[in-house]
Amino acid sequence: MNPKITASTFYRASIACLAAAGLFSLAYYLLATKPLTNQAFARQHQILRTNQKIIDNWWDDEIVTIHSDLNNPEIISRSLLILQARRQSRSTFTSPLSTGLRDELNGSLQNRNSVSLLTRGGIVVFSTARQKLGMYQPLKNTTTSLELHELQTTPLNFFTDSESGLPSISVALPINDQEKIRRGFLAIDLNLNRLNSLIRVVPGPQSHGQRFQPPVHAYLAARTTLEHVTHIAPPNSQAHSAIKPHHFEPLNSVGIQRALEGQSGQGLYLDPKSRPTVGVYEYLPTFRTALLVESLQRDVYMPARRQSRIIFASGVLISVTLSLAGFLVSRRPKEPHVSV
Amino acid sequence: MKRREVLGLGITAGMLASCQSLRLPGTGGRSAKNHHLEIWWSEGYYPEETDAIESIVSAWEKQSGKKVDLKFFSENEISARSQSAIDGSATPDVLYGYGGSEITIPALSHRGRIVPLDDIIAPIKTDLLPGVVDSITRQRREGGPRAIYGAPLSQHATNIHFWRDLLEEATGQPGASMVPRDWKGFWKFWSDCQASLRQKGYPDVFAMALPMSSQARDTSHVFEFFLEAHGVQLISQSGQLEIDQPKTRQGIMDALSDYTSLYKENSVPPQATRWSDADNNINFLSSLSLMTANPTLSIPGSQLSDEIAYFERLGSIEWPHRLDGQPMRSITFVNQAVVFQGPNVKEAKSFLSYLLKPENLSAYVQGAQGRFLPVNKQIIEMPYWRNPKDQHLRTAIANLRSQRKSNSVLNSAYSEVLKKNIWGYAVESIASGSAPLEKATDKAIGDIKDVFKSWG
Repeated sequence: MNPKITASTFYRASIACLAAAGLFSLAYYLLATKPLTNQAFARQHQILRTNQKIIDNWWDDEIVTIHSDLNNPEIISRSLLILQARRQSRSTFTSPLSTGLRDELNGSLQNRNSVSLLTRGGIVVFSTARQKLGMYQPLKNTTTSLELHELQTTPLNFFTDSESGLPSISVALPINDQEKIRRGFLAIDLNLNRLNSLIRVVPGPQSHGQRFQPPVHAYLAARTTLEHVTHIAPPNSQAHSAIKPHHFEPLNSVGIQRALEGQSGQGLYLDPKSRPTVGVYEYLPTFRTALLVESLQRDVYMPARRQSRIIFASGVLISVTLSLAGFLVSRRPKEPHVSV
Repeated sequence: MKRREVLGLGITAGMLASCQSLRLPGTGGRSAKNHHLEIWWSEGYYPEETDAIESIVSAWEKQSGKKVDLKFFSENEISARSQSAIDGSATPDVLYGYGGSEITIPALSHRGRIVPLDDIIAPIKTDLLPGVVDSITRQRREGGPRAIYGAPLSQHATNIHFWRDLLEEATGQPGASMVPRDWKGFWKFWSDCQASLRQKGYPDVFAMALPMSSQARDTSHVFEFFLEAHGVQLISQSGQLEIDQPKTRQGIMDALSDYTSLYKENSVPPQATRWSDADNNINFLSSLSLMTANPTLSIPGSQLSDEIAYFERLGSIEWPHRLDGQPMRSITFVNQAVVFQGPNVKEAKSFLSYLLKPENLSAYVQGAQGRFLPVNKQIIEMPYWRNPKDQHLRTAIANLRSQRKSNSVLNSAYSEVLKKNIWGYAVESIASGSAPLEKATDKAIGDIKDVFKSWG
């Protein structure tokens, strides 16, 4: 062995190796996260576009159904009879007229919680939901009153239903008699639970070819009051009727705030549970709602973290080996000096 | 002077000049160079109100040759802006908001932010209905004779409405002639009707949709009628707080006990302690209560486009007599527009004088579709307000026959009592059982005294 290689040389090399491993692993992690962030953004944008299409299709389907209902002579004639009949404080849920109308409307309830008939003053005189009968449903602020041709373009009001406590969107379309005199409104309470279930895509960890795909969480959030932002429907697919208003926890994040201000974009921010997140966001003007697609940073950066751990572990292994070599060298018996 | 000093002075002067041209917030008012009259207006509930004020402004522009910058705000926003104006933020030349008369105008006049309008009101004083001038005349900040600080546009009091069909269901008789006129009999009657309705298959209908919460300003408005019924005078005609007198304290306690007992005996929906201002309207209009008391005529107003509900199902009734047998004195609030201190006071007064002409004001007040009543004798005699079929307007006008000055007119400090909803807190704490009657009464009295002390 070279007489100049001593134990301290090995120790120095071990420390240097450890420091280099630390630096390399850190540098690798920092460099590798950027492309991972970009990959995550690209995938999230794709999911966002898909979700937007799903939402657009859902609304287009509903518009077609509304058109069909308002052009159905049976529905209109029964509605006019109910609206013009002498009213008591409570209309009868089981009258032949109401039952007949309910039968006509039952076929198109897929995207709706209920369909009601409102007087021009906003009092419910017929509904597919018994608990709504006789209730007052203001035609401003909460319900969105509009003409049929405005359905495609008018932003809808989002509000908390005072009866159910659930976030709701209701549209009311005028029902006119043959003389074109407005007799009342057909009010449709949209089934936001169904919409929510359509867009909530949460794939688990999976490999797509060679690329790692982190889990993605997509959701819709909207303001129920000036200060309160919440999910548009009960999270975790819980039963609609079992949810109490207080279960709708307020939501807040940079992404939600920006989206509800009408901006679209992407960013690294804390999600409503204060977890570091990679997310994209979009404002959906029709529903005054924010659509967010997010992944946790810890999931997105898992490949980089794994690789940098391997680098660091390799460095540690070499460092330990060098330390061990240094230790063995230091324990080697010294050769006696032979003088000639 | 060295060159560097000259340069420094130049920069400082430039900055000062730019500050002036930028009109830093908080300085209030507008540049005298700006000849546009700036008007902030409540956007109203009905498009007809907005249309009416726009056409009045347009006509005044043509007549005066002046330009107007008319901005509409929601009622919440205009209240927030009025509040900021009290604190010294930028102001328009003219401001009108529904809630201003009772809460912000007294504070604005107290701080000297708005100008007296005696000169434009004096010529039309005799055209105004009784009580209107009293309701807009306030103490001057600097002392001396009281002054008029607002241009009166419309007025409202608290009205009582009921469902005719539910009442008929409960009593078996049409009409409301069987409703007693004495105070105690009146309230007992509705409670008895609830019991009758329960027997007839209406398990969820309550007798009275009376607000009992600190969130609802309506709680104070309705409770003030209970104070009036019990003969409680909180403020003397000279503006002195008389709350310390044992008789007044006892009267307050009796009124609080009277009002909250309706809740405690389950004649009021249990949610009433959590209601906001809209909730008693919603509860009543959903036929979940037989009757309600509500400031303004917004309840029948909401049903105006439905003849069946407005003319056949809904009823309105006058307040019962006070406990001493005298007719109830209504506490009316006049909706007023105010003029801020600034360079355009003359133009602002000219605009308000123009607006107050009966032919202009009638279009505006009518645009509110009966939500508020006119302040002008000529307007109230117009066919719209005298429709013999319209018993809601007839009753509301009848309620104005006997009235008293609101406490915030007698002393501006009382506007803070309304703003803080001190009566609302007292009522809620007693109704919900979180404070005994005596403790809640003394707390309310103490809070009111603190407010008056802070106003000086």
